[in-house]
Amino acid sequence: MSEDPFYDERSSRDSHTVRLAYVRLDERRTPPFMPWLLRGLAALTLIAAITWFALPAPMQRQFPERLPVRLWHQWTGERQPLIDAIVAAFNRSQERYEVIALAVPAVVSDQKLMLAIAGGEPPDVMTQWSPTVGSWAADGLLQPLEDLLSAEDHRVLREDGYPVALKGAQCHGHLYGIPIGMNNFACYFRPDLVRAAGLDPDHFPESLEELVAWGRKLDRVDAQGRLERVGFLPSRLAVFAPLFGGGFKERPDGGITIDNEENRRALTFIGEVYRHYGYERMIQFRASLNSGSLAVEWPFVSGLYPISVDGQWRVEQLANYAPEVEYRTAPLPPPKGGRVNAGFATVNLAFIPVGAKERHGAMAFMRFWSGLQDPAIAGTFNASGGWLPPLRTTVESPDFQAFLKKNPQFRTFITAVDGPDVEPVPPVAYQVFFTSRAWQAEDRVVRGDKSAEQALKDLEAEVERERGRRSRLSRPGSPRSGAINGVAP
Amino acid sequence: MRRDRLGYLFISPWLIGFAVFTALPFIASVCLSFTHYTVASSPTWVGLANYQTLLFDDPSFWTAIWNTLVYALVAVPLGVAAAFVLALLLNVEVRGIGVYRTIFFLPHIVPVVASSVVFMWVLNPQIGLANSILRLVGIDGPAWLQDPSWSMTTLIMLSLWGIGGSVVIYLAGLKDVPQSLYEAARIDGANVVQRAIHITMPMMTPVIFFNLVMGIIHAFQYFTQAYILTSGGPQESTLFLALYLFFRAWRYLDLGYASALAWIMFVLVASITYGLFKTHKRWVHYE
Repeated sequence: MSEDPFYDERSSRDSHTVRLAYVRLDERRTPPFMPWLLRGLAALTLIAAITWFALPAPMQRQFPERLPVRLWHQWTGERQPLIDAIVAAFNRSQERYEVIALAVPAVVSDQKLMLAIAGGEPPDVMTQWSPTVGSWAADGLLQPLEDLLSAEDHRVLREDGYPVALKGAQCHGHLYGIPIGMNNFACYFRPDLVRAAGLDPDHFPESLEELVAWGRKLDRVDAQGRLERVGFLPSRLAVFAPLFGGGFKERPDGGITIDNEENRRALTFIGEVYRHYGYERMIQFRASLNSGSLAVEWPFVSGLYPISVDGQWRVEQLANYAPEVEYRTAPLPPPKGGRVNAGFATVNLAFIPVGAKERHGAMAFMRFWSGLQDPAIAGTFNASGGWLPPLRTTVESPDFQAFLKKNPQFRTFITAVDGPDVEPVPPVAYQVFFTSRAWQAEDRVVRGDKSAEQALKDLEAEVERERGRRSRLSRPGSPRSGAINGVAP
Repeated sequence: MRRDRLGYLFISPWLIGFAVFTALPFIASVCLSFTHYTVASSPTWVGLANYQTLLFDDPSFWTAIWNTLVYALVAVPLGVAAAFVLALLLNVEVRGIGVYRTIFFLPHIVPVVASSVVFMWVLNPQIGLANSILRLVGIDGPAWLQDPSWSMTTLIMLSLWGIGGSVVIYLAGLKDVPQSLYEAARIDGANVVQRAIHITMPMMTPVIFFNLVMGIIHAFQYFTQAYILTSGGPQESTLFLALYLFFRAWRYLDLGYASALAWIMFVLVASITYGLFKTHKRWVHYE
């Protein structure tokens, strides 16, 4: 070892001379180099060819004589076969169209759709479970569907559909999507843990205040004062605000009801629960939990949240992956003096992107899946996926009734979604922006950064600023301005 | 002449690729930045409205600028210094030095997405490895990625994870320092520290300059880790310019606005780089 870390004996000679020597050496080696290059290229070509042939062949069409209807959906992994089954059933049911399904992961589906539209090759029909229909319709990504629906379809949607399903599918005076499912929220609770805390699971709280008191009895703290278990933790202002008489609704002028007394009370309620535990401790506790969509990752299963407010999809997950967990569901109770039968739901939609080539085939498939064509068949699909059907007759279908018999806790969600005061995220032109900012406003409150009053005031100002900007940038009369109120088709 | 044409023919795949995928989008983005464009419909001319909103009516934009500058001003010098020190240590001829060099280089070739997911767990405040170790010595670690007062610091610390690439460049630079200079200094009685300060450092300034410029450019393009680990949160504490651009373009479908943002970002990077080049004559020494 050299005593000097920067001294390299081997390169202590005149570097210029050494470099020249290498250059000359390289020159002498040039002729034998070419065969090696050729051999290398040949080897690479061979590897590429083998890899090419090892790739799966492009999917062959089963009915090449039919009109192709390309479907993009977001159900991947274990859920993908459910959609494949719907597609297969549709392809068997008629002889004019062939639906060709492609599962596009939800995290990239939005971008892929936009690029496909820009490239002139969008799918004929696409599904979406995030509340984006307002923004996408305003930005011209979706086609209005009225002309493709029969008078009977309109009637079924209006009279047989749950009101929230239709509210979530229309905007700017048009229907932009066909509801194929819904998602709403209720309380899941663990009777075993409730009993252990000295509470009676047969008498679930009838007010939010009682529910908070129940939750406190279920809390567990370790020797260092860290939260090990939190009985009840409210989250999602959109879910709680309707119980206080508020909620996010589209105003006649195209704005959204944000900063009002009812919403302030709801957000204050959420913030107070966090304040009770200590904001810092709650950050630590929440960060330690998995918030994944799979049942195994859900803290309710591990008992860390003995009372959870979550969606109906957990019923099927629990049945499949945690059948040993004893649980029940109950409607989220209103606060004392609050509003009963009010709530929040999101709608899973199928829609036709602008530029789609096979609109009629797309609509035929959407009618088939949604139950507009035959509610009984849709009942089979919804039962197999554990989905919440958008039509009442689908719920009444034999297969779905059999599903409910097997999963009685699912009924809570059906009851909770059926009411005139159940609201979706308002499908306004700035819907995606609003959803993202509303979540941030709530986050500021549960971190103790802002009071509920301030958070809502700031949110309203921010949303109004964005709405104003969009209005200024849009062509006069364009739905992008968000100034046109949605009306029923 | 024929030789020239043949040369252009050989480089034509790259030239075509550059024209189609870099030059044209570059020019198109200038035009788009003066429009309201949502992919589905044709762009509408809005003049300077996007720039006006960005500069005077968009608090998130200024948050993103601030966050990016903080990151660039802290993470880049820190990375340059850490990589340089590490390169000095890895330049010492000891037994198994190749193994050490490989170990320090390995993180650089680990996919960022994979390492980010691992760090998400390592930095989990309650069950993560980092806080578990801190607890052993009686420290209750913070919520690294969930606490706005810690999230930026955490991302800056994580930026050191991938400095192996810079280390290799420094190592190559160190190998290129003429040994005759060290010999002369030793004859004059300079010790190790003096040789490091008066020979190694000045001779390495071109490499340091290169890493600094590249680091600044990369800092302004910082995206992947922030997207995976924090998505710009909590409370926009890690909302970087590139991330905000992405959200505006693909989440809010505001491609004109995002283009304006991209151009402001470009002007900022170009100005800082120009500033660095203006100063380099004072502190960068060439052989």
